[in-house]
Amino acid sequence: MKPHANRRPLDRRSFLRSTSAGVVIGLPFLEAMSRNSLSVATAGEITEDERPRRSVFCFWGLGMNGRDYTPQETGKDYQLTPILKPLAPHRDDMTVISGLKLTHSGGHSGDRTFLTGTATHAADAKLRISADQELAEVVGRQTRFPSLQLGVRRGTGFGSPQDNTLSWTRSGTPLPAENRPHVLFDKLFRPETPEMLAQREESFAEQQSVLDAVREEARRLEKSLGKNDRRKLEEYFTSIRDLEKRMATDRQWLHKPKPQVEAPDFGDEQSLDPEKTSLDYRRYQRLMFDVIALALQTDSTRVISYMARKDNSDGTGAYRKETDNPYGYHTMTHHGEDPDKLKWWTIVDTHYMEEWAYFLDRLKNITEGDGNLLDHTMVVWGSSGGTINAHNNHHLPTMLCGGGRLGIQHQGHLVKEDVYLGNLWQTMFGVMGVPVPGDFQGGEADGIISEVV
Amino acid sequence: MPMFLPRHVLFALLMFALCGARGLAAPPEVERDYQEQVLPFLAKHCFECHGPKDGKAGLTLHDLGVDFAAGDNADQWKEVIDRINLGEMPPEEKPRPDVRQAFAVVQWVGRELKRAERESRLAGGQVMLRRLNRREYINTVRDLLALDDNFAATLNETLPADGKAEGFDRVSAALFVDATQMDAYLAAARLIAEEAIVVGPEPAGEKIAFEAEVKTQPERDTHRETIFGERVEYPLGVKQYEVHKTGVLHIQSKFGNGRGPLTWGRFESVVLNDLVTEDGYYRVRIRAGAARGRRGEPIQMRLAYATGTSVASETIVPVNHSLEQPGLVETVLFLRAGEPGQSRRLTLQWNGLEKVIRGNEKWAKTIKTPSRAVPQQIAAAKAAGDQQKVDELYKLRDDYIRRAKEFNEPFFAYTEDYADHTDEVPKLFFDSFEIEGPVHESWPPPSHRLLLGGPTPENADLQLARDVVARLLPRAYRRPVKPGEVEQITAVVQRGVTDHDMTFPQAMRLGLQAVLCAPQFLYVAEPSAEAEAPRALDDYELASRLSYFLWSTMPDETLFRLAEQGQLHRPELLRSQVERMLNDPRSAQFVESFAGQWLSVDQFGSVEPANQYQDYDAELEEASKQEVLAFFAEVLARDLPITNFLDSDFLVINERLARHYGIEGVEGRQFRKVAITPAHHRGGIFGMAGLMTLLADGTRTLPVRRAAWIMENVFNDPPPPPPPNAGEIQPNTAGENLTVRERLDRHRNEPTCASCHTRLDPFGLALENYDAIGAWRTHANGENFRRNSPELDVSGELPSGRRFDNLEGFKTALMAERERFAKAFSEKLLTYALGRPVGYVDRRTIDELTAALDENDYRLRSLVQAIVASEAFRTK
Repeated sequence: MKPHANRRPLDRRSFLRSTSAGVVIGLPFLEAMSRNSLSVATAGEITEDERPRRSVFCFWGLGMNGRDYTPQETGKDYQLTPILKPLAPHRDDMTVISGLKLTHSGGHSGDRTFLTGTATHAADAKLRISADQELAEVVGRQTRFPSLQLGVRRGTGFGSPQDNTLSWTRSGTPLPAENRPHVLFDKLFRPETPEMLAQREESFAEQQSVLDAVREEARRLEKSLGKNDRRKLEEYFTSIRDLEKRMATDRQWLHKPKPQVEAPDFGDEQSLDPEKTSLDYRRYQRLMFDVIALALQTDSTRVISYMARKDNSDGTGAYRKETDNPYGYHTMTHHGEDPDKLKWWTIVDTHYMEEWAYFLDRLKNITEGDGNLLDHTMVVWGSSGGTINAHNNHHLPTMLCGGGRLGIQHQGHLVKEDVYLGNLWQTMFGVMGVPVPGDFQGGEADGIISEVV
Repeated sequence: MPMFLPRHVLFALLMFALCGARGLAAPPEVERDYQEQVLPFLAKHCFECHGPKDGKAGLTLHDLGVDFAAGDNADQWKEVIDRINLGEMPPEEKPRPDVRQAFAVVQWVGRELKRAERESRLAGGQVMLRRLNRREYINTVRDLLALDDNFAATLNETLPADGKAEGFDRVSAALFVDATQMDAYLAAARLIAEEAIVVGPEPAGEKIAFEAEVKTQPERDTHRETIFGERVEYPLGVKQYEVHKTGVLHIQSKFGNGRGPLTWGRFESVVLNDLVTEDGYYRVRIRAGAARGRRGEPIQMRLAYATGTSVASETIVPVNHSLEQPGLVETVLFLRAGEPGQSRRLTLQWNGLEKVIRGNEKWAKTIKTPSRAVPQQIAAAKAAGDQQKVDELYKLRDDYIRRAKEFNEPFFAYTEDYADHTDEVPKLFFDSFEIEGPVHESWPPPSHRLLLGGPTPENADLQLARDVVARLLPRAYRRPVKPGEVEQITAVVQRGVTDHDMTFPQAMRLGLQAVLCAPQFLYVAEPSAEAEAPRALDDYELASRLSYFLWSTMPDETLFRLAEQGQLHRPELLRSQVERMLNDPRSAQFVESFAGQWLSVDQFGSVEPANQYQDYDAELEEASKQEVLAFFAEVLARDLPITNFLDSDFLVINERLARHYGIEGVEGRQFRKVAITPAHHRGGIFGMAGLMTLLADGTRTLPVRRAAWIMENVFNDPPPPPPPNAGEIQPNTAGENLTVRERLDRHRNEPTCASCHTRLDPFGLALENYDAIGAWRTHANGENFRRNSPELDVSGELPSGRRFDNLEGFKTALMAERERFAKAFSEKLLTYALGRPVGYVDRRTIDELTAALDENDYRLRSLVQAIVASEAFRTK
């Protein structure tokens, strides 16, 4: 087996250079790729109808200091507030949306409700699918990764007080998030060795043997069960069917070469892991955004959820280390009108906003067609906390960025009083060309935000 | 809806089981209350616009009726109470409704919403097919295959956590299997099979060893300091450690700050990245001796591994050898490899880090400390443009540098306490260190011997596979095997050999994976043919219900034997088995699982107390979790009355908690029963630090949340859902100095809210003497309260009319209502035992359970026995 034999047919090689991070990407090879698998190859040449539509959902737990964030004026000519200042270069590519609400939970524990509309941390809450996964069910099959789940902390966090992930499957199982940019990069781009390929193939075959056997066992069991139990066992059959479908897709992708991309300079990887106290937050955050940009650029996925900041505590306490900030993020949000806490809160929020500006910058600096990657990607900055001090889950700070060439009409500062956050997701489904699923957001969406489309 | 006669009810139940119909059985008072309280209210205030004549906004209320399961009735009812709660309906221009009447409607709807939700999951009272939850799965594979505890615990990371319904993770409706879950089962089965069945001879372990005196750099003779960036050097004085010919003598310590015997000081660390490449056991041998010194505390070593990572662990071992005659300190550690590239080291520490050696105070007081202010002063002078001052300060700086260079006294000395008694200093002599592994207690491991009998030839024949499977399956499926089942699994082994080129042990692993992913293993299945009415469980099914109820694992040999003999269902045997099971250590799983969820221990730690609560630390958090479980375990072990959960004359605590509670004479980390008096202001669950912390938000108490928790968990009568966007009480604003109670009063301006809160809030306000971390207080604290903080008023009145002035009075009032608690607790425990919601169909069972409690002094075991004896527990 010579898995690499047909991987070097291309004589033309060009580079994309990121202005800000110095990341060099070797463009992969046109003819070798399926149209959709590697759109970076056709950057500048791709035709309008081939261009993928993408959605990125970023969650920043615990809201923001609204007094220094929410613009006074509405419309396109609003005055940039202190926290929004870092986004000045992008003001035409974003809409600040004020007034959106969640109703089932929020304040500083609405992480689970953010993309699901109704799931909460309450012991009895019914867990349901998140919007990104509903999107991935439709558009995900066209890419190697139907969706990516990312977070500032690894895993699902399920069972602990706050989640680490925004993404939930149809039956309400949390999907684990990755938080190390270098590991994410490897998952996306590191080529499999022939040994690994053979091992994966063998393991698929073994799993298939097990699944075949247990399906038989389930049929045997089914015959003996009463009606209600049989309905319950249906889940088991469905899980096997779904898993087999997933394995079949994975196997197909297994033999398609991964996009060839030059790795960013990850440097000391220990300090890129937010689980470690040695975390170098800014480097982690920017590399995370770099790799996300690469994932989108190479059309490795079209749907990403990213819990960039956790609820209740920010997840790392990162900015306390960088400045002399005496407060944890949670403490600042419960400022009790203490001016010192409010002051620090704005400083920290502005730091975070600089990172967000970096992300938008990255996407904008990647050419795609006659526009750029940001033009073809809807990127949301969102939170489940309005005024944390009062535990509000209304007036959520929300920003829709990018998507200009997907039909998004940016409106500067838009006020949508008492409108479901789910309506923003519904708007994005429309732009993605995905029909609104049944029981969308458990009923916590009742239309679109028509001003932006 | 007509009133049911008992016979009709039974018939209705049967219909449930047959058709899976929903919402038929409703208590008669539902209809009665609807007719007497709800309908008149709606007729008076709502029908004009939302009734037979008019349906404004598409809403008519006269035809909503009491069946919440029909159509979207539940949603519409929810809308009705939301509008009433918000004060939006009836509209402003209409007469305001009577607050009490409005509240009665809100409460009725709230209860019915909850009931409808329960009934929808209740399947007429039938216990549904359900999969094992994660805890049960892990315990079961451990017991089924004689796996190592530590290995089994690692499976927690492989399997997703479980959903909950009715407050517990044992309810079928919330335990799904989907592709992600199935994928995790495949992954877990693979890990288990590789652990359980080994291939080849015992792998040789590796070793790292060193002599302390070789690895340790001798301490320098001088001490270096810097002043304004310039280095200065002084004679060292007393050393912190001395390198001797055969080892290193450690002396405590210049860094201790006198924080005493609970802190730890590091004296060595070893990188284990190359040694620990797989999870397993590693043997550590340390040659050491110690002198307790004047403190008298036994000297211990703590071996902390991979601190701060996901694979961290630690072990504490005593050093029982003397300084003069060091000896071997030996222990075996379970260490985990973690992720590739993850840096992992073993840190050796010893206890009792206290200040034995101090730095030179003259240097600190006259030179270092005052010099620190200079740079800021220079900056300030520069900013002020005061050049003269700047020059002066530079001179001052140079003066400090000069004096620092002239200073020439020894830098370290023994503290006053020890200066004249240097022989009484705690010391540790560290001679050598060795770690070796992975080591195996036996090879092949017990799991392998259990399955295959002994070492297995690579090419054993299929007959052996069949024998192994035939032995394994009845235990894996928890019942005698049925025709074809052994063949099915044996065929998988066969395919391993023929299709996948596997050796025999490898193919056996594949077969084991199939068993562990089979629905007969993953589900607790109780077959019932199509038209069968409720039936008694057979003895095997009963054995499983019992063992998963009380042990969260599969039945043991005794239960299987009694099932095989057809004896288990006999009432007297059942009773004695329950006693045996509750006395067995495995009942700790019941405590952790049931009490952990009932009392929200699984959520402890979710609230991060603010900086101002200096007393809160990780040790307190951990102890506060343990306390709840230890208290429950005490009630269970001694078969005490469940009223102890409301109030008790004892606590089960350790030193850390005793300090938090202000109780003297409790020393050490061990939990033990401690008698208390009312003066301690504790007893029962209400004063438990973990619970009080959870029901606060880290900065302030949340009385409404505390009250709602009590209504839900103590009385199983959750308050009606709050209106949408119900605000929370604002934190105390600096200068206003209002207690939460006063702010709450302000907040209740809407009369309908007030009516609910009047009923609810006293339960929370009564606990206001416990602050946001459960410490006792009489005046408001935390938030912005610094001076003149107001005194707390915790008095109130329960909905029953019982008044109280203080916490003791509150608990007395609760005790007087213990029957209500007994009913609620019975419902909770029955829910847990059956793994299904408890609803109206269970009312007679609940009556039996509360009667059993009443007859037996409310003792916990009498309730467990009554549940096991109940028809609901013994039938499918």
